[in-house]
Amino acid sequence: MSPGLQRIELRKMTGETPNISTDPVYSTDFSLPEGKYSFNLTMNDTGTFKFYTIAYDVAGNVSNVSEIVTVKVESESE
Amino acid sequence: MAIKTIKLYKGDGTFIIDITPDGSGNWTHELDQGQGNKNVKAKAEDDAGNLSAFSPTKNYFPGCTNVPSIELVDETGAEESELTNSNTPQIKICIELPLPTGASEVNADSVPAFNLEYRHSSTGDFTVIGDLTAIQRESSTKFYKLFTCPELQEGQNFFKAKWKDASGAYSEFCTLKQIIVDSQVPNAPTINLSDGMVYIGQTVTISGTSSDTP
Repeated sequence: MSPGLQRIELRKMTGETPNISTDPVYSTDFSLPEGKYSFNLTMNDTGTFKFYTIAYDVAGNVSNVSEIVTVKVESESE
Repeated sequence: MAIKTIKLYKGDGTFIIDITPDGSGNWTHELDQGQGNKNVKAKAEDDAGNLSAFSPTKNYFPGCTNVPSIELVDETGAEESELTNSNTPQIKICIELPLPTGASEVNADSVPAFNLEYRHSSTGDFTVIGDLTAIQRESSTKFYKLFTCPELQEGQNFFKAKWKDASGAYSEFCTLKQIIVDSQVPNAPTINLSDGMVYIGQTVTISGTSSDTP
């Protein structure tokens, strides 16, 4: 059964491994043409941050986490 | 002295019929006063012609055409989506009955059971689950039964229910209730960003694709 996707959440990883119960939702995309999603991240702090995404379908099922991406911010913008 | 006759009356005192009890004073009669709010009371007459006082008036409602409704309790999709991610969702079968005039509530014995059937596709034979007893009261006129479904197949499932009255008669079935089971999790999203990228600006676009499990 595949009724369709409902939303994608971008999660900021706070621990050593993803934890969808505690990792904060950084952004949510409800507009998913053909399953494509997009987030614009504006980082206000320097450092190294890890993010991952998870998908929810319309029946309330949650996917496994995506691969984890690491974003390194060298300096804040002026 | 023995009871010779039971005299039946409407609630307003209008005589209906004489009934002869058996030797133990027991009596029975199939009374048809038509459909809707009705009431009845009785007097007993002994062999000597002595008449008792009236019995208490009993209010009742024959000819009820109400049918149950079915709700999906474990609805995990949007409201009224009929979607659940459980293969064994809980459903609630409800019936609201008319309150007989003069009664404070519909007697709980009015609904001894709901009868439930379901099928996986929109056509074909129904699987009979049967009579579900231990009906609960929700209000003075509403009754319900919570029921955990047997393991359902993925996709559409259709349920129908009827209620059974105290005389053993069944109502008409309710309209079919569709329940859509989707217990498969979506595929994990892909991210169109190479791990370890460094950017000059602070705004990074993270995009990708995702799909629900086929």
